[in-house]
Parts: sequence; structure tokens; C-alpha cells
Amino acid sequence: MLDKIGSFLYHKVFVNIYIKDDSINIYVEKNSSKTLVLSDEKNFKTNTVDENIINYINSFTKDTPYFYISILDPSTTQGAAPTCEHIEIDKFYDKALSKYGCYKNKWSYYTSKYDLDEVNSNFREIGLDFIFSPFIILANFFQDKIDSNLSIFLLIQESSIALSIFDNSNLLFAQYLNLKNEFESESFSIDDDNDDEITLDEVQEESIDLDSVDVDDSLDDLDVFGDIEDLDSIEEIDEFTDVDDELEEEDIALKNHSNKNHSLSESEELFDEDYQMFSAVQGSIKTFYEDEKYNSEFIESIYIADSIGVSGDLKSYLEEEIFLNVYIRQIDLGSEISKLAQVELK
Amino acid sequence: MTYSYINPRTKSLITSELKLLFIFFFITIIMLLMTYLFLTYKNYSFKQEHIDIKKAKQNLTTNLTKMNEDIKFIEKQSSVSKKIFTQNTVLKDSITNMFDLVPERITLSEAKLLKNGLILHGITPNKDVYNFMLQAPLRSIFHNTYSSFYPAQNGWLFFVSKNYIEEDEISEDDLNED
Repeated sequence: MLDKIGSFLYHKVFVNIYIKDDSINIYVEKNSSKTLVLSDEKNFKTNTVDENIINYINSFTKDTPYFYISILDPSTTQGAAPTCEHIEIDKFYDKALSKYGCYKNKWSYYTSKYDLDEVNSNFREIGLDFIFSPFIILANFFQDKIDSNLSIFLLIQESSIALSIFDNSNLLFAQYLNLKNEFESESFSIDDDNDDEITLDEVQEESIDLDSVDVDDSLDDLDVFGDIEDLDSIEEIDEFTDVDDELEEEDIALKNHSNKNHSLSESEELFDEDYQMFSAVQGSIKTFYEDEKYNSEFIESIYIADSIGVSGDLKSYLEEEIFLNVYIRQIDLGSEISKLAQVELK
Repeated sequence: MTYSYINPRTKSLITSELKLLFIFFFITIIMLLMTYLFLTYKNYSFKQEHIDIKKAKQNLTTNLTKMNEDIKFIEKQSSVSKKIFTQNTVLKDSITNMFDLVPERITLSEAKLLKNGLILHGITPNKDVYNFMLQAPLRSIFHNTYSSFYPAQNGWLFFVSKNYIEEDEISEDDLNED
């Protein structure tokens, strides 16, 4: 009763926060019953809640007690699992260490309790009302496609990707990719011939017992090695070498054209980011196909919710290297979080 | 739907400013209420006091009437006592005068003071002493004087003298005294 009176007297303010690589983005919506009165977005070049952020939020929230502060979960140890059953959940994540929820009784999303506490602690000065998983944002954003397709769905943020594979609204696989860590490990393992994904068990299984070896067996093994030559990865490496060459040529031309070195570094950066994203997605798809936990199905298309404005390179990589049909849709994260917060209140 | 990992904080219509305003109003109302109660109590107290004073006034009026009656009664008693005192004084004077009238040679044996007269019994050496020394002054006081004699053993005479004042004169004297 009091809330109804309150909604007539006051605007509802939705403050939606999502953390970028080195900044915090805040999108604010002020609603009067059902209409949008005001919206504003501002980026703060900081990683912590400072006075500017508090003042900015207070400038919207000071006039109303009905304000809701939402944040997109920035935890690196989050994800989604294709089940809501308590027994099966343990296969995918540790229930004791995670906070999780169920989406339409079909699949679950989770995050680390420790990270959740950390987020709450980092934002204690302004307080938080909602913490949303990017997988929920993704599922809502591609609702029309998820219900009728078998596809990969990506939510690309500046330093992370929420990847999920849906088959007619059933989640098959999901992974949260932290690009910063991925990139660091990638660059670290460039010289390691991509062997980092082979586990010790696999090595032991594939290792040769010298006592049981005979001549015929060794010949068969050689045939197997012959097949290895056809691996896509080798082609990829060749192709990427070509791309590198092209870029080098481009760089030389740019250098000749002007002395502005920063344009070179920008293009390098873009290339790095796109390649980084591509390799992360590729790795995830590989995991999906290889891991027996998941019902692997052949996937032909990928839908990308792009919040940062990815270049065409990522699309071409996905199309040319993994032969996927790529569909990119721009997403306004702030607005999507706000929509979700408003739905939560109904 | 609850897709958030945490529950939203409870939002209250009452902001800190409103809370302050409500506290102010609450204190004001309390103070007004206390003032109202105080005034109501005082009003009741005054009314009660008024009733008490009215009762006291009534009592005092009653007492006053009673006291006035008492005063009247006492005044009456005082006047009566004064009258008696005066009468006694008069009587005393009369007796003194009477004994002053009696010469040394005559001895009284009985004297009766009446409202309108005086009766004397005594012994006299002879009639002349009585007539000249006692009857003469009695006649000047009383309107009617009657004397009778009879002899005693020693040769002297017993006498009885009856002296009366007329009734009309007595009543006039009484009226004058009142």
C-alpha cells in the first residue's frame, strides 16, 4: 500500500553498473510509473568507487527512496551449467563455494561466493540491490533466437566473453572467458605447440609401453601421425602467419605514410583483441566438443551480442576458420541490466 | 522472477528527511497533546476548586447567618443582662436608700420589697419618732402609706408600714427605662 503511494509520489531510479577493463560504466534510468523520464550514461576512469561516482549516483538518487543499483557480475569464476538438478550441479561447480540460481527450471547460473562478497564490499559505499549474471543478460537478449536454434551465443565485453551454446532453449554448454587471463596464458604458451590442454592422464594413456610394442603397432602409430598433418590448427597457424605478413606490410606502408606510431599500435591492439577473442571462443568450442560432460552437437551458427564494437576481423575469423555463420547484434549493456532490474521488481 | 544473486535492499517511502519531519511532527503532536492534557487537567482542577469554593461559600453563608442569629441572641442576652444589672443597681440603691431612711432609734425586723411598694416591720420607741423620722420621708417617695401599731412588752411599739406607688407611674417608668 505504502509502496503504491510511493510509486505515485516518487520516480524510480535504476542505476546500472558494468565494469570495463580499466573503468566503471554507469547507466542511469529514471522512470515515472511506466515511462522513461531520463537516462544518462557516464564512464569513470577508475577501478574503485570514488567520490565522483558517489556524487554522480547521489545526484539521481537523492530525490527518491526508490532507487535500485544493479551491477553485472564481474567475477571471473562464474558460469552456467545445463542443469538445475542439485545432484547433477556438482559435476559443473562446487555448490558450497558458489551462489547459484535457476533459469526457467532449465539451466543454472552461478558465481563464486567469495567474488560476490568482494563485489559487495567494493560497492558498499553505494550499496547494491541486484547482481546479475551475464548469462541471464545473454539469454534475455537472444530470447528469440535461443528458443528456436542450435547456436553459440556470445556476450562480448571489454575484457570478458560469456559464451553459451543453446539447443532450442536448452543450454548445452557455457563458459565465462576472462580475456585478460586468456591472453596472458595464450601469449605464454605460444611456443608450447598448443600442448597445454593435454592433461597428465591423457599423456599417460597415450604413452607407449615399450614392453608391449611390436613392429606392426609402431607402423600403425605412424599412420596416426600422418593424420595429424591434416589438423586444422596447422592450417590456422599458416593462415595467421599470412595475416601477420599482411599486417606487417600494412604497418610498413603506414610507417612510410606518416610518423604517427600510435596508429600502428592501435591496429596491432585491435588485431590482438580480435585474435584473443577468437582463440578464446575456439578453445571453448573445442572443450565443448571434447568434454564428455556435455552433449556435443554440431554447431553452424554463432550469435554475438556486441557491447564494445568488435571489428570485422573477429567475424571473418569465425567464418573462415571455424566455418560458422556469424550474426552480430549490438547490445547496450546498461539498458539491458536496467530492463532486467525492472523485471525483477515486478 | 529472481535472477539476481542478491535481494534488493528494502526501500522505504520514509526518507531520512521525511523521518526527521515525522519526528518533528511527532514531538509537536506530543507537546500539543501534553499541553491539551495539562489544560484539561487544570480545567478540571479549576472546576473542582470552583465547586469546592462554592461549597465553602455556601457553608460560610450558612455560618454567617447562624452567627448573625447568635449575635442577635447574644445582643438580646446582653441587653437583658444590662437591664437586670440596672434593675439590680436600682434595687441596691433603693435598699441602700431605704436603710438610709431608717433612723437610728427605730429598729427594722422585716422588710419586703414589692414591685409597687415596700412593707416594713419594726419596733419604734413611740409614734412620734416613727411619724417624724420615718413616715415623713416614706410619704415623699410613695403615693400611699398605711401604718399600724401595736405595743411591745417593753413599752415600745411594733409597727407595720405598707407603702405603695400608683400603677400608672410604674408603667411609665418601665417604658422610659426600655
